[in-house]
Amino acid sequence: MKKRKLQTIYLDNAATTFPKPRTVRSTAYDIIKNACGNPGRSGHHISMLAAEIVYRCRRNIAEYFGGNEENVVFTSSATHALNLGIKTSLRKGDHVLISDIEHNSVIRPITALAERGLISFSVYRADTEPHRLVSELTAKLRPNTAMVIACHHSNICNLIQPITDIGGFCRKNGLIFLVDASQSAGILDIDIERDGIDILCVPGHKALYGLSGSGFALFGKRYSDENGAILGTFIEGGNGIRSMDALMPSFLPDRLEAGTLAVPAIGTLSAGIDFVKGLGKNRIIEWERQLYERTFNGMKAFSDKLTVYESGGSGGILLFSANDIPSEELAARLDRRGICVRAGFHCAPTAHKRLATPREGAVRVSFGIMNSKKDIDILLNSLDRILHGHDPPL
Amino acid sequence: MNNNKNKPNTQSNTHRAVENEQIIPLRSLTQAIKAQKLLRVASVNARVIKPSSKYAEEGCGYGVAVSGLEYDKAIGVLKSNGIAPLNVNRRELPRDR
Repeated sequence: MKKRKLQTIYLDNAATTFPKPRTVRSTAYDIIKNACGNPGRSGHHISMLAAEIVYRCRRNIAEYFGGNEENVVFTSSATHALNLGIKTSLRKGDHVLISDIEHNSVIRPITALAERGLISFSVYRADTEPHRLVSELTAKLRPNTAMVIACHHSNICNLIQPITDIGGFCRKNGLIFLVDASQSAGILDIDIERDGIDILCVPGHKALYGLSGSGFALFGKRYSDENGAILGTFIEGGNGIRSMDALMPSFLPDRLEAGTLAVPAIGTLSAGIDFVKGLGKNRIIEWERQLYERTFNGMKAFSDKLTVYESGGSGGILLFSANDIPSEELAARLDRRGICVRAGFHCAPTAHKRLATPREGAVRVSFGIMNSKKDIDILLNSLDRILHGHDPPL
Repeated sequence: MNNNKNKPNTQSNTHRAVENEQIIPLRSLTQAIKAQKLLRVASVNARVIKPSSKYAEEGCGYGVAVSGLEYDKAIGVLKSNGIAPLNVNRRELPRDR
């Protein structure tokens, strides 16, 4: 692989964290070298070693987020987990409440089901204030409402929804509560039992520091044991259990897992969870806040040339646009200086509308535990040069 | 990862049956590994196995093998942890001839 000579300042951690911790990298190598068998297919020791790795990750997830390891269903990403959670739990005629900060990984499957006449949905205004949010949800409730979907942490700003309160509302009204924790898992405190979550959808490659190709849906008590059968199937095929039965098993995780699992990715997810546990969430949150504050305060020096979209205060994400440079061009000019950020609409159309970003979208800077204060200083220096015309256009 | 260290705990097939060892069939591989961990905590030595199809529901499955002497204790441990063996009748593993 060709490595660029220029230094890399990686500030796109909301898309995927980079670089990965040393332990995650060594785990990937170890698994590929020693244990890359097919779990749940054979009885030989390489298959069983792979099965142990997969089980260890299930256990790690259940210990970290609460719940039962048998209710961990591995997926290739959070998008896969969200599609799986939505499409296996909803029934024809159901009504769903989704927030106005959802990612397209929720908006698109929900819209597709509605387009096919299977479900209907309403959009509620995401809020950080519990009472206002519960009032909003209550007002949108219909007799056939079956599910509330909540983006825990926006992917374009630091708006964090109070999931414990939404979970309480769902319990009280007998609704399925599905949480998209793509930006929060590994950073914010989540306990599926305390928070009343029925389906928690998580990517492994973001703040849990695993490799791309890892993710999971963690199902709550509602779906334990034979209750797994109330879920429809999402993918059918071999999983090494009840092979003579033409139907998928009725219990989790086997009801929703078919085909060979991504053992190396799953193993790195487990190593990533260990890494996050070792650091402690508070340390990660505090560091990201410090980086945000440094960036935000630094940008004040050229506030006449850019707009910062503040929502939710300091945190892991800072969204801004330059007054005279389209967002994609600005991102490309930063990349020329070795700085990786993401421009455009971040697959979050309704959230962008809410923040009233320009027609060309905005630039997202997203921090991670691997970033340093020096990274921020280089970003600010580069922005200063670009915004003041000391950097040639593309 | 210590390859050799992990081998004895996971190595298993029907041809390695120990005398008087008995099989407890379980519904999934996940549950079989979970059962093995629970039994280990209760000081019951157990191996995860993929027994021949006649010991599994609908063709393929997994379970744990325990010493015949510890079979009743193992069943008790699993049931108290909410794990229901597929068939609690004693099933001896076939042995090498």
